[in-house]
Amino acid sequence: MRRGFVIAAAICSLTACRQQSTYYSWGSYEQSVRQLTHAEGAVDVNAQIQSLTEQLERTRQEGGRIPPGLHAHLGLLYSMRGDLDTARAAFESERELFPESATFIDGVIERMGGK
Amino acid sequence: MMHPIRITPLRQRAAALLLVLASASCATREVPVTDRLLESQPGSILVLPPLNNTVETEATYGSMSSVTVPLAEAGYYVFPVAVVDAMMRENGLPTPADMHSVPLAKLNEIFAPDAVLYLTVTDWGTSYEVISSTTRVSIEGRLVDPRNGDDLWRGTNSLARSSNSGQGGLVGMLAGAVINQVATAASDPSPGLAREVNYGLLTGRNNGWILGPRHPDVAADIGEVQKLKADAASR
Repeated sequence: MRRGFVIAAAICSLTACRQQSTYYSWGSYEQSVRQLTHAEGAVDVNAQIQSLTEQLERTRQEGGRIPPGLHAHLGLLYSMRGDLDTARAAFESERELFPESATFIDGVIERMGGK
Repeated sequence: MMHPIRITPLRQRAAALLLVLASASCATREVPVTDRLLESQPGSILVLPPLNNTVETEATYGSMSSVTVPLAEAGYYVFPVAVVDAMMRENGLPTPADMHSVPLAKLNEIFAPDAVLYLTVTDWGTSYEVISSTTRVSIEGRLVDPRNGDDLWRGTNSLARSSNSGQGGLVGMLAGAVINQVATAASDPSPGLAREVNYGLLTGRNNGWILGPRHPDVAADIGEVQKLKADAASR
């Protein structure tokens, strides 16, 4: 009984309860950044794209806030697997949501050979 | 006749001591937010991959991943760190030292950030002793106005944690069991400690920060800091 409570409390503190206190819905963004920069080459790009797009969908459905950088990060992941059209769309979403990124994103899209 | 001569220096000394105490208490009440940060009120921050002054190769990217959340939660737009890193590497800047040496004018042209954050990791990793181990992470930072190179903020933070301070045990085992699919080197405590160091370094009025424009309480926060600084200056 007591052990069950301890486990439940631990799970609560590790998952849902912690996420609710943030302004943005971060999901696995930080882990993805860490894996991508830490173990480049050995990273499963498709798995990360799937995890982050599912997270985006959930955030939209729940009316949460998409954090700065997430769309652009997805753009990088798409470009890593050669999916340039989807990458461009993701970068454009970043620019739309965060106009502060416009100069940077315009440059990224230009260098991808777009427009 | 001797007494007044002896008492006067004592009184002077007491007065001097009181003055020192009073100015010390003023100093502790002063808000460490710089005037330049209050004038600039940046909205977007470009974080360059941290410089690594330790022998552990992990330090740069082990600390970089947890920089975004505290700054963004405080209301700033944070440029996507992995994208920035990848782009710089593709353009002939393979190391953080190379990236930190890019002229501000060039960063302005490519990113147009309101501020650039330069971080340096000075301690990273775990030292093992006979019955315990201690993990230490220290990071120092400088926030720069890219238009003129002025410092907007400077700070440093350091945390150490021993293996017998209650972080392992049952909770550690549960963390492994519950989020094992994350598989981010659960055995290495340094990235987790770096997250706490970054949080303490990069948020809070007492650490020299104001809220950014995307935070709902930004106007009240900046107003309070301005008032506190004006009060401190008029004392």
